[in-house]
Amino acid sequence: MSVLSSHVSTSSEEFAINRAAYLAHIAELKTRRSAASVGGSEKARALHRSRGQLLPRERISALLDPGSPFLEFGQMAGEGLYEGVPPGATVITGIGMVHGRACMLIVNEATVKGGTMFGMTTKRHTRAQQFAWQHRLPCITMVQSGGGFLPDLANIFPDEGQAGTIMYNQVRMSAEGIAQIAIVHGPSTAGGAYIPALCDEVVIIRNQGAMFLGSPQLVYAATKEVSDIESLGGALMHSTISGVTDHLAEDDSHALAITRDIVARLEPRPKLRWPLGKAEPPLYDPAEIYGLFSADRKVPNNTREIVARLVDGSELQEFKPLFGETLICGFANIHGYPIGILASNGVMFPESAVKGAHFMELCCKRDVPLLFLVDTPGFMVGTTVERAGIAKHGAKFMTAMASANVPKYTLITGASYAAAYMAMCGRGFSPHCMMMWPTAHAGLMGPDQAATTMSMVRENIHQREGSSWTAEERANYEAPIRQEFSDFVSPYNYARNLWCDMVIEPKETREVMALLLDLAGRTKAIPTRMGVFRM
Amino acid sequence: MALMSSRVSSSSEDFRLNRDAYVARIDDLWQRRTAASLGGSERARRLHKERKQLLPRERVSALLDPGSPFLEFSHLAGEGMYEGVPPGGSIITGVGLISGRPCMIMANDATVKGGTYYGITCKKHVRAQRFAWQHRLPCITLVQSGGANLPDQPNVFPDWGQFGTIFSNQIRMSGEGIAQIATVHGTSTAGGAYMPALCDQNIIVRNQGRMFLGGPQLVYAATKDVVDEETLGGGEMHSSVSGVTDYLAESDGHAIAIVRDLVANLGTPAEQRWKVLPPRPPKYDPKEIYGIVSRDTRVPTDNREIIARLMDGSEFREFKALYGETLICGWGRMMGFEVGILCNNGVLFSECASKAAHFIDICCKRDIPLIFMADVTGFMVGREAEEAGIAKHGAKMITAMACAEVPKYTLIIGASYGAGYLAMCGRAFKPNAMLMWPSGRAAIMGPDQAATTLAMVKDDIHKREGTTWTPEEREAYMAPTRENFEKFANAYNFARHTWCDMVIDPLETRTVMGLLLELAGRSPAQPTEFGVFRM
Repeated sequence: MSVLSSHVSTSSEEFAINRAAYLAHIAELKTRRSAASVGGSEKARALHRSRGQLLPRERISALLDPGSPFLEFGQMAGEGLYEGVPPGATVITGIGMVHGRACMLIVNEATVKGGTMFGMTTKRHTRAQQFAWQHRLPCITMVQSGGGFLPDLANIFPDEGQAGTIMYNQVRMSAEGIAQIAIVHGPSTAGGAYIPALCDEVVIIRNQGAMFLGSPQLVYAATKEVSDIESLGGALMHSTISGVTDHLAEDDSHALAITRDIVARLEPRPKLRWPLGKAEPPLYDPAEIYGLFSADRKVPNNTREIVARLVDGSELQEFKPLFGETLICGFANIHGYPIGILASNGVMFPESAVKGAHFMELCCKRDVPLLFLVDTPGFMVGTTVERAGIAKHGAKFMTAMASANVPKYTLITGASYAAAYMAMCGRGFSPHCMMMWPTAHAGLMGPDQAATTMSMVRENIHQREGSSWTAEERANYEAPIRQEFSDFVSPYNYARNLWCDMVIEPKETREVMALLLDLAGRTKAIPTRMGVFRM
Repeated sequence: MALMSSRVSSSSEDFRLNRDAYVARIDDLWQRRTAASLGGSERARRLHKERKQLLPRERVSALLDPGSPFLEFSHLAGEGMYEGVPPGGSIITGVGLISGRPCMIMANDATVKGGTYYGITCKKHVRAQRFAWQHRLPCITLVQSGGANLPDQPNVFPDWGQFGTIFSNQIRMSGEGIAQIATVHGTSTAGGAYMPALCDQNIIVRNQGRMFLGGPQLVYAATKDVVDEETLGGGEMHSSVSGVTDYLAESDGHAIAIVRDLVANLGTPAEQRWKVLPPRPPKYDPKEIYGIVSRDTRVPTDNREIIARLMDGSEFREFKALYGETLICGWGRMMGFEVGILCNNGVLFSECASKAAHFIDICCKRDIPLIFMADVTGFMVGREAEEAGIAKHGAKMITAMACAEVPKYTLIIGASYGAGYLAMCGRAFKPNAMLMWPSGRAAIMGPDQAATTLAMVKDDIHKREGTTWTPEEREAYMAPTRENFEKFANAYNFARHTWCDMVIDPLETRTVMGLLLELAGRSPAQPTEFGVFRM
């Protein structure tokens, strides 16, 4: 292995400016995370606790092994999307260890709008399931939800990726032997009742949990029958008469203890399929990334310096270092786990694309997972590259990327635009996990380019109609477009819409990657069948 | 086989009123289809023809064998969604025969906004690909598209199910040996250029087709190079210099002739896996369905009469006819294909649900495809049903339905509400095709129920605050909810969003099902593995 050398001066003024800018980004990230972790209003939380119930995040802590990490997915989902709903979209999803075994936890946040499901709630829930399915993680669903939020009907009910898909995923995972366990902490109606009913094993809490297809109110409206929650679908009834539930718990803690027992008896944890290298920290301090990451988006980054601060021992066995230099390809380790890195270092040229395709073939043959580190304005344009066949070389790259069945991870560190967003394993290509640094920005085009393109269209109209506009009018026309695109490209916009799974900071990158690779390494390798390469 | 009996009097007043109401619906359907088949404005179509190009539907006709059906998917997608975009969402997708072989055709409609992609365009394209993938149909993409529609960026660019997924599907189908062929009829930029570049084989039309990652304007903005379209990415250049395209055609007609040749050489088509008998018409006239479907949504339809008018010879072997009578299960033939029918005839009870699970299990064991005919207000609610364990019986039905690997078809003939919509193979459970009659309607609850539910919430608030409201005030509060839910539940609202694949006339049902079953029978059978049944 060759050790990457670094040429960064940590005492330069530029370094200091960059660092200050990045620290502001980190501060913002921390603020947003804290806001997303609170849950509902103080009043709602007090009411919840007055019923003797644990708060959702307390339930998670109580379920997990002491010292277990909790890798949260979609923490900021729905931020600002619905009135009165804090970031998180009324559900908490993430991975933690239960009896030494990684499980996906899906937990309704009953202190927010009674845990009712919005469009973004179903999206976050199904995304968590998809990850669990891919990694064969037991799913533990802690249910306390009023069901669908009626006014958001169009986004929770009719289509794929909504409430029906939650059920579909549960059942199909069960069929593949991925354990589905639910705890019913509170009243759960209709769709909410089906989520636990469709699990392999269900725990329900006495005098708290209840399940019915129609609530007492609805039953009264339909049949004039008067009933109360307990007699209609309480824990005792379901555990003794209907047989809809399997375990009767006395309180939240008891239910969590039963769940831990159930998990302890699941089949043993699968073995890791990769040999682990010796885990060692990078030679250069990852904290230096703050200072070397360009604060000015117009000044490109030297990505080699960043790679040097992410991989074990700063060692990268680079592939074709002298060819297609704007894409760095190479083998490395992160916390001992083998990884094939594709890191942009400028615009994508035909040479970068074929090099990337070749490198991905190697990784697929050798079962080495792929990490896409994205910081590129796009593919090169113009006569020279078109004649060189950039479309077919780009197609080769995309073919290799989309076909690769090794685990794939996307981390957008800086720019990610247009076809390059797609080629560097964008969301549409289902990477195992999609991450962004706070400095990331992604879109069809950048704010400036979008403004220019739109005003060029306008200019053509002026030309055609023989009219004109002043420079000021032009600037006024461009300003809102620039603003709109600049809001769009923000990583928090991606997080809000669940276009990415998480926003992480540079210093967390190695830990998060190690957790993800450990999960992926405990699934079976799937052979890759490449599509036809356009030669 | 048992011949079904019918008690319908086609001379009754009720029959006549029903028929008149249904005929009006059919008129409406045809008007909508006609509007959707037109394409862009007259001016845009004239301009298109002046360039000596065939209109998109002319291309499709020229491509298909004489007399071939064209089973169009998502014909009415996007209706009323975008200003200046007629129904169809700027793309045409459907299945037809080329050189005797069924193919999925995806044709950009360049007369609508230059064939640019809106959110619904991506959704429609991706849906067509998925059907093709599931049925291993060669994909023929007729490209003439300005790429992504910039202002609709959030719905075309960042997420799964959008442009990136179009690419991913192309590549992964190619990897599985499902042929991907494209013709380039006009200027195709960026994403539009990648679509043909990612195909196994592509054809470009001389002096018409063009492919480049960035158009001349963008090249000028980026590099100040002045270049015309033909030099930058014309058919001649890509066929002789860059090698991005494989065949150079002289005209639209020539390009289509080349495609037909290529399809003629795709190898041996798959065999039909089922024994298909010669089709026989039903003994009772299907036209009578118009007079049988109740015009009043509050008066239920006797769906046994409907089944009698859809099955070959009106023959139907019912399963458990005396048990769970509100769900009719049984076998018969449609256009010679053996099918298992599950058809609602009232509310779903525990008995219906367990009967359905049993029936689906049998069909999976025998490789008999399933047709879900939905007309249901939901599952039964109330104490008796809950104590009988309706949640677990419903869960059994959902488990069987979701896991069934035989081809599944959903036909919503009347109401389809609440968990009933999901259990009768709603969109999220990926039926091979999702069809609706014009009388079909679906939502989380019926309009009346929704209005009542929301009014009851308001009642509670009044009670809590010691206030009251008059029956008139209450009704005024309920009316808009009822109206919203009626609009939402409408079959054309489902078609607009591609929540269903097509709205069909009851009289088309047998033909459409015959085509769909013929396609499904040529893909290999998949063994079914069920999830844990909640006993």
